[in-house]
This record gives sequence, C-alpha cells and structure tokens, in this order.
Amino acid sequence: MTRLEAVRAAVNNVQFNRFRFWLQLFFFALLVYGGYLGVELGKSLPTFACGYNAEGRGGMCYLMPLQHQMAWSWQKLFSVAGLTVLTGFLTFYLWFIALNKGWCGFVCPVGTIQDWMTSIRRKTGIRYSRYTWGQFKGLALIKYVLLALLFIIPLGIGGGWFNKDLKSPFCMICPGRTIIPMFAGDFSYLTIDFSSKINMIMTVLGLTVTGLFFVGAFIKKRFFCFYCPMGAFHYLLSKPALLRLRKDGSKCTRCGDCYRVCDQEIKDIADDVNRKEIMTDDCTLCLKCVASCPENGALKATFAGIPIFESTEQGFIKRMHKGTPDGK
Amino acid sequence: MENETSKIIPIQPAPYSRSRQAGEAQTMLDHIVDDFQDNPQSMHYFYDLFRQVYCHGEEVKHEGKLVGTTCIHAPEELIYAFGATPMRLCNGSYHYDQKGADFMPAKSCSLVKATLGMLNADKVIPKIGKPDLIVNPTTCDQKKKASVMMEGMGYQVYDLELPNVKESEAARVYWRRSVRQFAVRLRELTGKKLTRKNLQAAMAKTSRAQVAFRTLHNFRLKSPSLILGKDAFLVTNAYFFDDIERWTAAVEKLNEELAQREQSGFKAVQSKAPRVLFTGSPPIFPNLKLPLLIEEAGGVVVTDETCSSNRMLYDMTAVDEWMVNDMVDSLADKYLKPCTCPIFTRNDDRIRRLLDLVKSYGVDGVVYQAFAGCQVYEMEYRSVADAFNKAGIAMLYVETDYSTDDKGQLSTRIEAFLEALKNRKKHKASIV
Amino acid sequence: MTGCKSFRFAVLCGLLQTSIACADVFWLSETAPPKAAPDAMQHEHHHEMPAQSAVAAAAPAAEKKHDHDAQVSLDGEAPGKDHQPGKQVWLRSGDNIKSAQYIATANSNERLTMIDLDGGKTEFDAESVAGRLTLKTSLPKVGFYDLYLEQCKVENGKLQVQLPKAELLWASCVAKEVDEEAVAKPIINVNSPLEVVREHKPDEGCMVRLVSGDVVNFLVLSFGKPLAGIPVTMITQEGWRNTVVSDDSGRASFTVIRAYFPKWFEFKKYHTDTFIAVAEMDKNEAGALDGTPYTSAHYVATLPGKYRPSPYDYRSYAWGLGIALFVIVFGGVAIYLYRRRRLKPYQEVRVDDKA
Repeated sequence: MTRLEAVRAAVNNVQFNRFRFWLQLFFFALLVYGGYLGVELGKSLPTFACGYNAEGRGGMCYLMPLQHQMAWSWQKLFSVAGLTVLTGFLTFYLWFIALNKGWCGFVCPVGTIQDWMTSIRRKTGIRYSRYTWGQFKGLALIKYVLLALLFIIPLGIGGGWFNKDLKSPFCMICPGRTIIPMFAGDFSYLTIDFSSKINMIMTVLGLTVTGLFFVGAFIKKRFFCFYCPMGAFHYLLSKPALLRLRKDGSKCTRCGDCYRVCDQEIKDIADDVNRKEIMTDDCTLCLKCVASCPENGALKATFAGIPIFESTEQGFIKRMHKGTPDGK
Repeated sequence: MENETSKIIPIQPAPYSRSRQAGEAQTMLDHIVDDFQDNPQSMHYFYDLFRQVYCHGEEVKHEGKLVGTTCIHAPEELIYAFGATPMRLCNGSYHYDQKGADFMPAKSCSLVKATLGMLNADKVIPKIGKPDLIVNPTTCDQKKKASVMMEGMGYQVYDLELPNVKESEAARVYWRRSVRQFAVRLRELTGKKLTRKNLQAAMAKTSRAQVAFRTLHNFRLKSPSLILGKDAFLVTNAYFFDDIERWTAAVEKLNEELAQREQSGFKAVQSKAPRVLFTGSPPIFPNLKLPLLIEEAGGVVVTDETCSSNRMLYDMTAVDEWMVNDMVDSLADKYLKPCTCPIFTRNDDRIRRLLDLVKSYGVDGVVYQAFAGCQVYEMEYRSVADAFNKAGIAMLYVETDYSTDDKGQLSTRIEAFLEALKNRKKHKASIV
Repeated sequence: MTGCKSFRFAVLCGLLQTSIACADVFWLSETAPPKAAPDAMQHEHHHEMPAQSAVAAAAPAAEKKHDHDAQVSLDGEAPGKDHQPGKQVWLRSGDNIKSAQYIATANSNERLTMIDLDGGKTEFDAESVAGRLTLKTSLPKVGFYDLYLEQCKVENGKLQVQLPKAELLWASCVAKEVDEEAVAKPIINVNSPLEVVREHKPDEGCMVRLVSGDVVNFLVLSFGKPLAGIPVTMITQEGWRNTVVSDDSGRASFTVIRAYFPKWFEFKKYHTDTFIAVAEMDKNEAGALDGTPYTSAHYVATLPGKYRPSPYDYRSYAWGLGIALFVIVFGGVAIYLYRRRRLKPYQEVRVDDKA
C-alpha cells in the first residue's frame, strides 16, 4: 500500500460524525467569537456569520451587505458605485466556490446550532419528525420565495416603493439575527421594536420565526436549512464549485442508508442512480450520506475532481456498527 | 398414521438416519465434501453441522420463542430483539417437495411445496421445534396462498404485508407501518418490550454476521478463487437455522483460513476455470444440485444474486439516531429498498446489481436458475437476458426443480456452457 | 415659558457670578440653513452663480437631500449624516438651537483646524457664502474628526474669544478596519485656551449613539489640561438647559433628558435632537488685539452633539420574549397533540358524489 492509499484509507475510515462535530465547533468559534481574536474574513461570507453580532463576528454573512446594497437608490446602484456590488458578489462567489454547500454542512453557525439542538433532543429520547413526501415537495419552494423577496424588497426600497424600515427584510426574519448575538452576550435582538409599524411587524415576524426555529429545530433535523434562501442561492450558483458530491449509480444498491441519515430527507441521494452530480437544492453537503454508504465508491466527495472522502465498506462498518467487534 | 395394521403389528419406526430423506441429504453432502480436494479445514464445522442436522436428525437448540420466517423480508433483528429466535423455513428437500405437492397445483415452485411439506411432516428437519409463530411476508402468490394452508396445519401465521411496488413513497410508508405492526405482534407473542438496548444488541448480532459474510464475499473477488461456491452456499444455508453467534464465529474462522490461503497463493480452482455468477431461484441444501454441477464441471461460482445467500446477508443497515423509532424504520428500509426479488413490479435494481457483480467479480458467465413454477423468475428472464446480451455476457437459463431426474441432461448443458466460456476466455486472451 | 426660562437663567447667572452672553454663543452646526430665506437665496443666486463657487453648488444639493429625508422633523436639527464622508458645517450664533442665526465671522479669513484620530492637523480657510460662514469637506476615512474655529474681538476693553468646535463622524456599520481604541479616545486640541470635550465611552465604536437617559461627561480643558470650576451649560434643542461646574478633573456630567414625546404612530426611532455644551471662562489678562487694548478676556467654548430616543422608549423585551415563548409553547403543544392524534386508529375515507 502506498502512502497515499494509506492516507486515503485512514480518511475513509474516519469517525465522521465526531470529526464533523469538532470541525463545526471550530468554525462556530471562528465566526461567532473570532472577532475578539482579530479574525476578519470580510463581508462576503456565503454563510450565516451574522453581522448583528457586531463584536464577535469573524466575518459577515453576505446577505446583509447584499440587501444593503440592493436598497441603494437605483441611480446609485446602476452607476459606478454598482461596481462595489459586483466586487462584493465576486468575493462571495470565490468563497462559495471553494466549499460549495459545505458552507452549510460544516461552517454555518445557524446550522451548527440546529445540530446541537438535535443532539439535545436525541439525549432526551424524543423522536424526530419528518415531512410527508407531499409536504416536502410543497415546502421546498419556500426558500426560493424568500430568495426572490430578498432581492425584490430592497430593490423596491431603492426604487422608492417601500419604506426604508423594510431594509434587510431577510435579516429581520432570520433566526441568526436573534440567536447568534446571544452567544456573544447581546440579547437586545429579542425585543419588539415599536418605533414604527413596519419595524413592529418585522420584529414580531422575526421573533415568531425564532420561536418556530426553536420548536422546529428541536424536533426536525436542520429545520431551518430547508427554508434557507442562502441555500437556494448556493444551489443556483453551484455549477463551477470545487467541492462536489458525486454518485456512481452502478454501484448503488438503493439500500437507502444515505437517505436514512440525511438531515434534509433527500430521496434522490438513494433513489437516483442516473445522475452523477447528486447535490440537490436542499442538500447541505454535510457528507453524512457518504459516511453511511456501505458500497465502495458509490458516493464520494471530490475537490476539484480529486476524491477526498469516499464511501467504503470498511469505513461504513467502522462507523455504523455499534456493538460489533469492528465498530464499537 | 395409526391404522389398523399398526395396531395389530406394532411397526418399529426406522431411525431417521436411515430414511430416504436423510439419504438425500447424505448423498448431497458426500458429493460436496468428497468430490473435491482441498476443502478448507474450517468448513468442517458446516459439513458436520449439516450431517448432524440433516443426516442424523439431531436437534438444534434455540432460545426463547421460535419464529419461523418464509422469506428474507421478515426483519430478523426485531425477532432477536424480543428474545425470540428466527428460523428460515424455506426448504430445499426433494422429499418434502413431494410431500407438499398435495397443497399446490402440479406446476408450482418446489421451494414453496417443500416448505409446506416440511411444516406438515411429523418430524421437521431441521429439528428445532414447532414455530410459535410463522411470519409470512406477502411476496409471491404461492407464498401468499401458503398462509392459510399453514394455518390449517395448526400454526399461528402472521402475514407481514409487503407492497408490490418498492419505488413509491406510498410503498415505503406502507411497509414501515407493516414492520411496526410486526413489532407489536412480536410483543404480544413474547410479552417482552422492544428497547433501545435490546434492539441495538440484536442489530449488532446481525451486523456482525453480515460483516463476516461480506468478508467471505470479498475473498471471493480473488481470481483464481480461494473457496468454491458450493461451500459458500453451504455456509449461507446454515444461517437459516444455526445459532447466529456460533455461525458468525465459524465464518470468521473460515475467513481467517481464507486470509492464510490468500497469503500462501493457494488456488482452489485452475486459473482458467470460468467464473460464474449464480442468479435466480435460491439453492437451498440439499438442493445444491446446480451449483455443484457447475463446479464439478470445472467452473467456479464466484458470487450469486439469490435470496439464500447474497441477498439475504449483503445489505447492511445504517442508523442516524440510535433510538427505537429510527432503528425500526431503518430496518424497514433495509428490508424493502435494496431487495432485488422479482416479485416487485419493476426490477431495474436486480439488473444493475447483476451487472455490478459481473464487473467487480470478473465473471465470465451467468447461470440463471428458475424453479419450474416460480413464475416471477421465469417472467423476469427476458429482461435480464436482454441486459446481459447488451453487456456481452453469456448466460445459461436453467429451468429445474428439486428432483434429481434432470441431472444428466443438466450436466451436459452446463459442460457445454462452461466449454463455451473457456473458449471465449481463450479467444479474448489471444486478442489481447 | 419664556419668562420661566429667563428667570432660571438669571438665577444661574447670579449664582455662578458669570455673565453668559447668550446671544453671543457661537457654535458649529451640521444643519443647512432652511430654504425659506428668500432674500438671502436670491442674493446668492445673483451674485454667486457667475463665481462658480463649489460651495454654492453644493448648498442646494444638501438642501435637496434634506427634503428627501421625509422622516426628519424639519423644525429640528437634521439627523446626522454619519454614514457619509461628505460634511458641511455652518457657523451659528445664539443659544436657541432652532432659531440660531447663520452668521459669518467678523473677519472671515480666519482658519478652521481639523484634527483627526491620529492627531494630524488640517487647516481650512473659512468661506463666507451669502453672509454665512460654512465649510464643506470630505473626510478621508472612517472615524472621528474635530473641527475648531477661533474668533476674537475686543469689546469695551474686553477680549471676547469664541471657540466653537464640532465633532464630525464618518461611521460605517460594515467597516471593521477602524481602530476601536483610537475611536474611544477623544481628540484634544492642545493649542486651544478653552475646550469642551465629550468623553467617549470605553466601548464606543463608530456606531454608538447617545440616547436619552445616558450620562454624558464633558471635560473642560485648557491647552490640554483639565480646568476645574468652569461652568458648563448643556442646552438642548427643545430649550432645556442645565449648568454644572467642572470638578477637579475638569469633568461636568449631565443626564441626557428625554424631550421627544410624539404620538405612537408618529414616533421615529432615528429622530435626532441636538444639544450644545457651552463652557465660559473669564480671565484677567491684558493685551492688545490688532492694536486694540483689553484688560480682561472672556472665553466661550462650544461643542454641539446629538442624541436619539432611548431604545427603552420603543423596544420591548417583554413582547419579544413573550411572542417567541408563545410560539415555542404553542408549537410544542401542537406537535405533541399532532403526534398523539396520529396514534389514534385510522378512520374511514369519506367518499361522496363530489369525490
């Protein structure tokens, strides 16, 4: 066995959930507390590094400046100043291309919080909920509606149709705005702002979503990600991304193990044996499916075409089989 | 039974070992063991097991309630979790096949007839005991109709409802409910509770067995082969009735021996022996007629796609949350989704699986066994043949049953098929 | 109202034995003069248009911007244009913030000094446009800048020194390359004989705003040294005023009052009120200014500032947490009941002739 093969085998045998937990914790600390250590990754991160966490943030979620910029007056937006928008978007895109939706599955602090809530529920022994197939198909469209509004409302402000209080409409309903600053000790976003009707409505909406987030994420794995406009945005741009999820349908037995572990209940991952690029719009690229696939090479994560994590029988047995001599 | 004559002249029943039934098993086992040299040492556990159980009629001990299953779709992990022991009732004995002929039309599947014949017999071989419950998944028509017949014999039968389509979401939901209801039925039967702990232990038991099977299966990737197909079938047949932990330990031991064989460069067959994929109706001891004929004729069965071996043990369960609800649903999915049984409406999965096995096991030709009367396999022949045609793989379709009458004729066909495979192989080699 | 104010003012003056020449308080304002000054405007048009003054061109633009901001109450000060680097200040005279006159200095060739966070100095020539002293500039980068003007004249043998000062800010909620420590430190002009400095909060970044209810501390400094016993008067836009004498460390503290009581639906959380802090000092010093001798001197230093309504006026934790909790409890119960209901036996499917 060459050294490369040995490294590959070690990677493929990794205790994936544990590895992912620590990696998520690292990114959470980086994006929520990194600011205290002088970390500044810019204003164009393709993940919910919430800008309302003014002190602690180690970078900023791109949706915040994007909505800000979209709300510029059209005169300004379509002038030279519009170049700022372009450079912001390009930076965002470069960040995004590197990890694709891996930003959701590994980096996003809101996603990580949901995973923690899932662990808490698991400890309490309460069962999870799943959508029915009909619900799944219907609700999956919400993220696109939110994405469209995220552009339309700020553009409408710039065009003078909407009140300025509506700026950053998505931020106002995003659970990241209320929750992430709390991790840095700022509870001020848990308030209703009565200063105007729009502020009141938006903050009421925001806290309703926050309430739903807590209930939803407790009983449904990655509850919010299913509705996240950032996820929809990612998917629309994912064509040239470097990190990819690939499937070799000829090796698939359609056993559905990958679907079983999928937080997002994506059926295609198990049922579709024709598509090679198997990442769907709901996918968070958490790669749990790869870790739970017992067929050698049926699912793999590649980076710029090079396989970095591949499903193997051996790895599967190591990870999935509690109580067996190999699996502990 | 007791008639007038036996009342007057008491007939001493002959010991089982001298019965025709035992003879059938003995003959098959002798062929399996004695016709070949270099049988693995660790295979003797299985030879002895079959000799004791099938030839001497010795008892196999079990724990808790005994739950008979007529198909691989009955989740054995659930049965183990309730402290009961599953036993696969599918039978391969020609003796029972004849006994069971009373229940079924003339042209019916030998396997179903043999199963019914066995259940209706006074002495059931393998001798484990009377099942406290028979789980009969509603698969093919013959098995479905067997339900009432088994009930008529005085067994408690539970129809485990299986959908006819496995791709749809409705089927998945329906099947999950079926499995949950089955768990409830098992609770009634055993009076025990399904807990996280005992289900996890049961799943660990099965998966350890599966890991052992997969390891064995992986050794068969090696060319020339380290182990013959007839031995592999015998191993998986033993899984039907043997104590699972003892079975696993024996397979693990066999795997160790195969690992040694691999290191020492051992060859169980000649290098040019055609490698055969066995598919279709399941070979079950003592009906290992066809695989044995292949290997006696110089071929080697390197892998299979049958419910007495590969399909039974290959697919493993993944669980995300080790809680009862998720574990049971995961089991349900595993028993439905990857199944390549021909009873379902579509069967793209079987063809894909076959092609994958051909590719990964370096298969030269395929032998497709269909029991006369097993309509679903007969009907699926066409589509499978088409697929292999397209892929340029030779396939031999054999329609047969449990009788040994066609042995001579089959032997000729198989020899001719293997010869053709060899020539093809030579031809290919010369081109390269 | 007016009577009362002047009465109190008189008392204060008597107590402190100072003579605050209220009409003579000079301060720098960021609010553009109102449009309604037809004479001045026309005058400006007639005379300044051919001159192509940059300032003249800029002034209407600023006014336009002002009108566009419909949320701003026009009778008060303009809200801070803190998000923009472009700044324009005017010199005003008078202690009534709403009606203080826009004036020019007697000798308009005096210079304005701007000191930035690093202590760098920039000098500007004060321009007089249509009888109003104004300065238009663009701040080079995000942060605070202090702008100083010094104006002296001798009246009745007394030197009157006006030291108006303005704290200009370019803030950005997205810029993080700001040196937070530097922002927290106030800028001090060591060349100024009298200066009022607003003490910054230790965590004061660019985005921190003074709100009603806050305690604001002013430091009275002379050539960078704290000065005790100097009366500091804080005058708000609505006419409230209070005088505190600086303590040994030169500090005078005020609690910012709440002076904004609109109806609920008219409430604007970005409503901005202006205040000015005035420090006055008499000194017995003799000398001559431009040949005119004097025997004593009177110094007036001013610093304008802005404050907003307190978030406690419009923000409610009770409602916020209440709504979130309600959703959590309601949602939790709904899910629990739904799960319970799912355990009930399956019921018949209804079929009627519409089905």
